[in-house]
Amino acid sequence: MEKEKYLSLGIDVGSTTVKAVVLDSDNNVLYASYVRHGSKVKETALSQLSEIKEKIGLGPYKISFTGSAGLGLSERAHLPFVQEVQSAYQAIKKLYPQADAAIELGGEDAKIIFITGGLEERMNGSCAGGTGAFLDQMATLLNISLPEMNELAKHAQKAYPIASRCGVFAKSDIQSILNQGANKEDVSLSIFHAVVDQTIAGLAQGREIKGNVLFLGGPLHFLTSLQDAFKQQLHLDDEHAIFPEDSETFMAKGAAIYAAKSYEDPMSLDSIIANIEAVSSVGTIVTGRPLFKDEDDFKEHQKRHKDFDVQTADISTYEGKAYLGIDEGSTTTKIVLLSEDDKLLYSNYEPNNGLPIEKIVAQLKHIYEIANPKLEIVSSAVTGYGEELIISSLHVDYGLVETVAHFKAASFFEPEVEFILDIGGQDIKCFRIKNQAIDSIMLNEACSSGCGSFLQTFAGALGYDIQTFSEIGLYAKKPVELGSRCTVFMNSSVKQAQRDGAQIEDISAGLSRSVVKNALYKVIRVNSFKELGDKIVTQGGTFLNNAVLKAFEMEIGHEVIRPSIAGLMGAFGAALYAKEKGGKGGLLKKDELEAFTYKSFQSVCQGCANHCNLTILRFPDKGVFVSGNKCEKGAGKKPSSDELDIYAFKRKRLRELIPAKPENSKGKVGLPMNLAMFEQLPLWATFFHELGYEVVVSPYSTRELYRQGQRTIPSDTACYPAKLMHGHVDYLINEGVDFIFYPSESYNIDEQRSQNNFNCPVVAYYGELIKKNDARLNDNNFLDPFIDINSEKTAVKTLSETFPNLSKKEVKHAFEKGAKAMLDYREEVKSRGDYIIERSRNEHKRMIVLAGRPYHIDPEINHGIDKLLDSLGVAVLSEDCLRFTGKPPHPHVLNQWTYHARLYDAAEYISAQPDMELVQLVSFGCGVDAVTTDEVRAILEGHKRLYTQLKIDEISNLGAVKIRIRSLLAAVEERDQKGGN
Amino acid sequence: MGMSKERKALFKKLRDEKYTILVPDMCPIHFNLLCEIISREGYKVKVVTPSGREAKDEGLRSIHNDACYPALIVCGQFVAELKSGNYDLNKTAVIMSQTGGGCRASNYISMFRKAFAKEFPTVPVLSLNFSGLEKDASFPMGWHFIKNAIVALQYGDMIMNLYYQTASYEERPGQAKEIADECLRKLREKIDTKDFNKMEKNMREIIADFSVIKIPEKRKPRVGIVGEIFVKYSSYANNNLADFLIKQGAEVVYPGLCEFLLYCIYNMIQDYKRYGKSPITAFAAKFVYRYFLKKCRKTDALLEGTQFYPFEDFEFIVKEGERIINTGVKMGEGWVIPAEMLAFADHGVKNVVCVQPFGCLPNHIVGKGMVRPLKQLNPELNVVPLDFDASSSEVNQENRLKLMLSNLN
Repeated sequence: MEKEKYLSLGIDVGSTTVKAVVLDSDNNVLYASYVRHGSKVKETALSQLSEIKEKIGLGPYKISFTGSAGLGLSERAHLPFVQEVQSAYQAIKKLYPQADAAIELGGEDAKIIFITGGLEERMNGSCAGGTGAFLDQMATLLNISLPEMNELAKHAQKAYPIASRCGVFAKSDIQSILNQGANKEDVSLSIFHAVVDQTIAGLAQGREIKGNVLFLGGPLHFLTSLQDAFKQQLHLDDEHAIFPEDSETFMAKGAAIYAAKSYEDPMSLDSIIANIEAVSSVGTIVTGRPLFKDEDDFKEHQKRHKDFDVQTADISTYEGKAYLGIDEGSTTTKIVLLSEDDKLLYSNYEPNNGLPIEKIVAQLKHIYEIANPKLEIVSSAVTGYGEELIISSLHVDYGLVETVAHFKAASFFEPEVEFILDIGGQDIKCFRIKNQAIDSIMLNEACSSGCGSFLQTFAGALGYDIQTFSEIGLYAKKPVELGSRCTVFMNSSVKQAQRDGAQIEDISAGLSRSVVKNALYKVIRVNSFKELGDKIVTQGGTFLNNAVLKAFEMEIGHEVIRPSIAGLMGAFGAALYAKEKGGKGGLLKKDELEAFTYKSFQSVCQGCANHCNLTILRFPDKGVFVSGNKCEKGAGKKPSSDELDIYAFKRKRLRELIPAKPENSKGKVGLPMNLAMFEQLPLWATFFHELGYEVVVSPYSTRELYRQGQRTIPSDTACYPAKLMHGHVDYLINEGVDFIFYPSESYNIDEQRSQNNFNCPVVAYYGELIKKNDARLNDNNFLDPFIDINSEKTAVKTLSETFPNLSKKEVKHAFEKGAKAMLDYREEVKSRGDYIIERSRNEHKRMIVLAGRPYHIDPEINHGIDKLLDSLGVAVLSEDCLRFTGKPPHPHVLNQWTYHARLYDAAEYISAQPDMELVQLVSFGCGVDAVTTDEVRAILEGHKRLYTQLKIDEISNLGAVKIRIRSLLAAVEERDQKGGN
Repeated sequence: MGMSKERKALFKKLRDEKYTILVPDMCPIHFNLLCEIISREGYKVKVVTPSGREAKDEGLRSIHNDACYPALIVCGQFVAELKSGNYDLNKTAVIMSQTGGGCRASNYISMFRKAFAKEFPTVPVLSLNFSGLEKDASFPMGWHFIKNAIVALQYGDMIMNLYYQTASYEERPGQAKEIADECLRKLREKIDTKDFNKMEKNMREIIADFSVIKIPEKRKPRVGIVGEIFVKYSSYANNNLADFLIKQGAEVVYPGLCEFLLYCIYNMIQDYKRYGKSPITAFAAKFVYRYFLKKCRKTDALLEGTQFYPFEDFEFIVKEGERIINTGVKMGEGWVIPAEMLAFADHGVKNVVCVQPFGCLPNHIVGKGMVRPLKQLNPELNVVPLDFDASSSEVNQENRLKLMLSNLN
């Protein structure tokens, strides 16, 4: 058959855009387009095709689709498809044969292709999703556009470390940096650095990116600061970093090149269009019930909630005392001014755009301007993340914990409230109220962060404001099921729904339901909705959204109260509190406000090895506000002594136990100070010392140490302590040790308190992983013998086989010495516990058992939580310093891990100690703790005690931790008072 | 075996009062026969067959959302089923297996009890285990039962193996499934008779039945599926992974369920060898291991000279394991996952999907953690680790599978 003449057509349908390219047989571009599809995938593709028809003609064309949303469309239209990484590879081979590697960042996916030295193509895992989408979210957070962010980054002085595990985490990090007053320039740069980190850690996974590197995809095309960040981090000069002119349509071009080579028959454009038109939009979308049947249904609902409107009074005519409440949240500033008879004189709710002080100053000036001169603000109170900042800058009279503020406000509307759920921009908080006191508090973890603001960002990405976006969903017939794990997962579910042709209203309603489910099943962890009680108050800005409100009522099958000022409840509560307390009248007066300015400095704290990045604000009255510090020392205050902090004691003691270098050393052994070593260091340090080795122990972790080892991490969803291991090993290699020792122990110490004595799989076998993932390690310089330390006989046998140059007798002797050293250390920790308990009781100090794992004492793993507790005047104990000899609690679970058995024991123990509370530290991603947290909570609640959990990870957000601890202490105090003690 | 009073009473009650015992949907072929055998012990059993989102949603509602996906899904299946109104809740129980290893899976039972406590307090949660766990609620197994169960699993493995080897070459859609169903039907009829234990004869019949479908000389690209056991086998959990791959023009290769059991038994022996643990268990384990291995080998030998590939020999798997990881890594599916991938690669299955529940602890080590060394040992290996979760989107997964498929070896 004679070779037919045809053009080739590539269509790349991504998560946010449709790109089309037509090539002639010499790969000249005849047509190229790039259009945002706003979820209307099919229509957008069709409009581009009709433009091609008009401009280029009917063809015939060899066609191929590519892109994540192209998959579904092409399948149903019975047209060819090529996976996007493949299409990129096709285009690279043809157009950039010199490339050694390529990095592509799309709206949702990140990809890397290694070309020379073994072809390898990788995509990000489920978690790291959202690079382009991530940048969009960050820009929204900063209230700037992406081009502005790009420009700002150019003027940055420094970059802050930002978690790169996933978008949600990075967001929390940025939030807290912003709250500390960091400037937007630096934050912008930090965001770009985080994207680079994410790419290197999540995608390259140890393989070096070098040679000629091609950068593809929208974000890398438009954002020159991101380009610079990549060049800088990968040490590439202009010659080796290639940024193609047409990078945004690169994949589409690749698809066209692929199509040209394929064996498919060319088609006329009319039949291609007909095929696509024939695609019905109804895919296999799982849907739920509509939120509202019709408009009447909606009106009825609105009417019911109208009852909870708050009364107002005119600020310009009101004379007399007024009370100011401020809620300085993570993303928004809320202000309420109340009259003597609790009428609302003034309120405001707006994003703080990272400039909280400026916002409030402007608001106050505005209030002073419009208020009747005879109105007098006699008392003021502030709550929220920015509490201390606002107190030190504007001299607000009182600060109060958020939980207390919210409880006050909710009680105003429903004095017998049993349950309060607050969904704000970043945080989800819920409190259960019993006997007029907060009985339990649940706050979201990093993973459910950002749900409220997520709705907003998503609306923005689709070109709507949040109001319109949620209204669209009110009458949706088939709300899409979008999952509830976290916003990143929801984001990709949305992508799938789009692929399957879901309508925008169904996506809108589906998102509202997902936010609610996330709160119910991840944060509150309800087993039965009856647990919530009958009198439920919902609040927080997100509940102003009627779709979310109705979705919540539907999910729990119960009506709730949503006050009209749902978004202002924290401030409202603060105002009520200010009124209750009387006042000091400290708030800056009108003239003082006019003169108010402040200066901001950056500094690095030299107080300890943490080297916190400090932001220092100076106010006209010589007042100073320091943020970014992990302890009091950084704030220039006298550091509290570590006397009553067992974590500090253990940290100090373990370092002291490292033996000195022997005179005639047999060699240098490296012990990574991580995971099991936090308890077994005395054992192995003594063991090797006895055998004549020099023992080198890696230091406690820092963020820097983490970054040092980051590139060899194969599984980015492992817990942070595990991932730190890579840094410790890197350190030891750099120290020039002869070998590193980290034994593999399926079984931990058998303390006879549980049915079995396992280690978790990560602690047990991380050595195997690291040996295989750091190219510098092998069976000779990384020793991880499989040992059960409870069985001296087999342990000695295995160790003798591991060190064939040593006699069995020597090994046995050393092991016995080591085992004794470990027992001694364990006893020392317990004696210290006795001491702390005794002294605290003498001084009437409250004690908190910070219950976790031995490795949670690492300052980088716990981010200084023990010091924070210390600064709040609490003594710190640990789960392994208590002498609990009673019967082990009878957990409902299989009690089979040593570390975890200690948690159950600790919970049982403190239940009988009125002056002790328990706070459980949980590393994010710890699967075992999914079992233990529920159980520890059950043991405590069984004894009518409060349960508090702190999830910790790479991100440090001490602000949130502080709120939780203060809430706990406030609740305990209230409990004790009510208890009549 | 000595039984506690409670246990005796419970199981007598289950039999006498004709309780329906619900079984999770994991390996439909194997469980079909296994249930039949359990029912011969006097119990009424039923395998749950979930569809749609319901089971996933119920799971999210009833279990800690950070618990792993298999726990969530199995619990969700049960809850959805119990809520359906099709059962007398005073006459229904659920059962699931427990390995007693160091991963979270051994805690499913307790999680379920908690989840059931409020809504279904009358429904007993039973355990099937060999580790002496759940003394009052573990299913009583005599040697006769165990022997029969082993036979059933072997038949199940054979049918599954041949099903996946033929499913990609059917002359008409559904043909392989029909043959599999017919094989199961014939076997079920034989359970009460001596014929059930005539393995060679029955196996040959199965082979003959599947030989109707001719496999071409040049096979389609073969794609192995390894990973966490539940997600690996349960099509509901893995979003019909095998069907998807077949539709995309691949032949699917699964390791057998017997291999996993051998792995569990092997670990018991290792615990004694390495740490001197439970010598009596180890002695019994050695006996069962040898018996079982011999039977597996006999069966696999029957495939010689046919168009079908047998499973990998377990001792070969052990050898492969030792090349890449210490076989002391025994939690979850442990060392066997990288060993299977390596064995696959050595025998021409160069494409592998390694499935794991999102955040699965052992899989950090043995799944994603072993990709690099696997590639070093076998650079041609085309492997994609894939996370599964009640909230993960299919398009995300399919896109990654498509990438793997575009590089088929």
